[in-house]
Amino acid sequence: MRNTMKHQLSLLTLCQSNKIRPSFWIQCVFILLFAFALFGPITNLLIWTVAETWYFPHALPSEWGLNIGTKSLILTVMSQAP
Amino acid sequence: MRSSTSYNLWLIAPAALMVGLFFLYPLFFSLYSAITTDEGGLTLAHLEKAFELYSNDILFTIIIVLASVVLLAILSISIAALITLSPFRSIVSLLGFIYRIPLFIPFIVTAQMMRTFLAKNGLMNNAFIASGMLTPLETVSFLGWSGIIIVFVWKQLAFCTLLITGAMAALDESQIRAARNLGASRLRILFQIMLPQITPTIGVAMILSTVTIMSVLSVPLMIGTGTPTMIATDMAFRINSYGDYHVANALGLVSYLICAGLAWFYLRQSLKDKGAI
Repeated sequence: MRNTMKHQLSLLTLCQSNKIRPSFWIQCVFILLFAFALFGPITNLLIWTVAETWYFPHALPSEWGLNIGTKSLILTVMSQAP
Repeated sequence: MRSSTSYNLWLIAPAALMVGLFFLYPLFFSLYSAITTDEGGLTLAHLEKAFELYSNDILFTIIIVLASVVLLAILSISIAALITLSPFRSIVSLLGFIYRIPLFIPFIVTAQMMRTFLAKNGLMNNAFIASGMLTPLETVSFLGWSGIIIVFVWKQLAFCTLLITGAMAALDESQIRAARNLGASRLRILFQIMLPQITPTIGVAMILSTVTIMSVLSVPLMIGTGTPTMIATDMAFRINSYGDYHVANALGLVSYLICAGLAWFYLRQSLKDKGAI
C-alpha cells in the first residue's frame, strides 16, 4: 500500500516536472519569436541609417558608412536656411 | 443648494467650452458639410459620390480593421496572460519590459521600419535566406494589405497589452488562488475566471485601437499598394488633389458612423465604471 502510494507520488512529481518543462520552452520560443517581431524592424531601421550599399539577398550591408545620414542632415539644414 | 449648482456649472464651464469649441464645432461642421451644398441646401450627392467611388475602400478599411482587432485581441490576451500567470518570473520581467517598446515609436517611423523590413528584399527575408529557411526565389513581399495589418498589430499591441495586463493584475487574487487550489489549469483559470471579468476592458482596448487604426494616414500610404486603400488616404486625396471637402467629409461621416457605435459602447462602459449608470 505504502509502496503504491510512493509510486503514485513519484509519478505525480514526474508528470508535474514534465508539465513544467515544455511550458517553459514554449514560453521561451514565444518570447524569442516576439523579440524577433519586435526588434527586427527596429534593427532594420538602425542598420539602414549606417548602410551605404545593401544588396539582396545579403543579410547585412556590403558597405557601411555615415555618408547618407550626413547628406540627409545637410539637406535638412539647408532646406531650413533662410 | 442653488448656489452650489451654479458654482458647479461655472466649474465645468471652461472644460465644456474647450470641448465645444475644439471638438464639437469641427465635428458638426464637417457633418454639416457632408450633407449640404455650397449654397447651404441639403443633399445626399456627396455621400452617393463617396460610395460610388470608394465603396471598395470602405469595405477594405472594415476588413483591415476587423482583422487587425482580432489579431490584436488574441496576441494581447496571450501576452497579458503570460505576464500574469507565468511562474517563470525572469521570462515575465523580460516580456514586461520589451512589449512596451512600440508605445514610444510613432506610426510614421513604424511604417518606415516595416517598409524596409517586410519588403521582398527586406531584412526579414534576408534573415530567412541567411538562416537557410528560404531561397531568394521563395521570398515574398508583405507590402500590401498583410503589411498594413502587421503594422497596426505591431504598433497597437503594446497599448492593448498594457490595458489588459492592468485589468488582469487588478483582479482579486484570492479567486485565482482558490481555482489553483481546486486543481484548475492556467488555461482554465484564464478562460473561465479572468477573461469573463475583464471583457469590458478588452472591449475598450479594441475600440480605442479601432479608432486609432481608422485615423492613421501614414501606414496605408507607405505600406499599401495603392488600390484598394483605406478611407483616411481617400480623404487626404480628395482634399489635397481636388480641394473637395464635401466628399472628404462624406467619407469622414462614414468613418464616424463606423466608430460611433463603438464609441457609444466605450462611453457607456466608462460611465458604468464610474457609477454614473
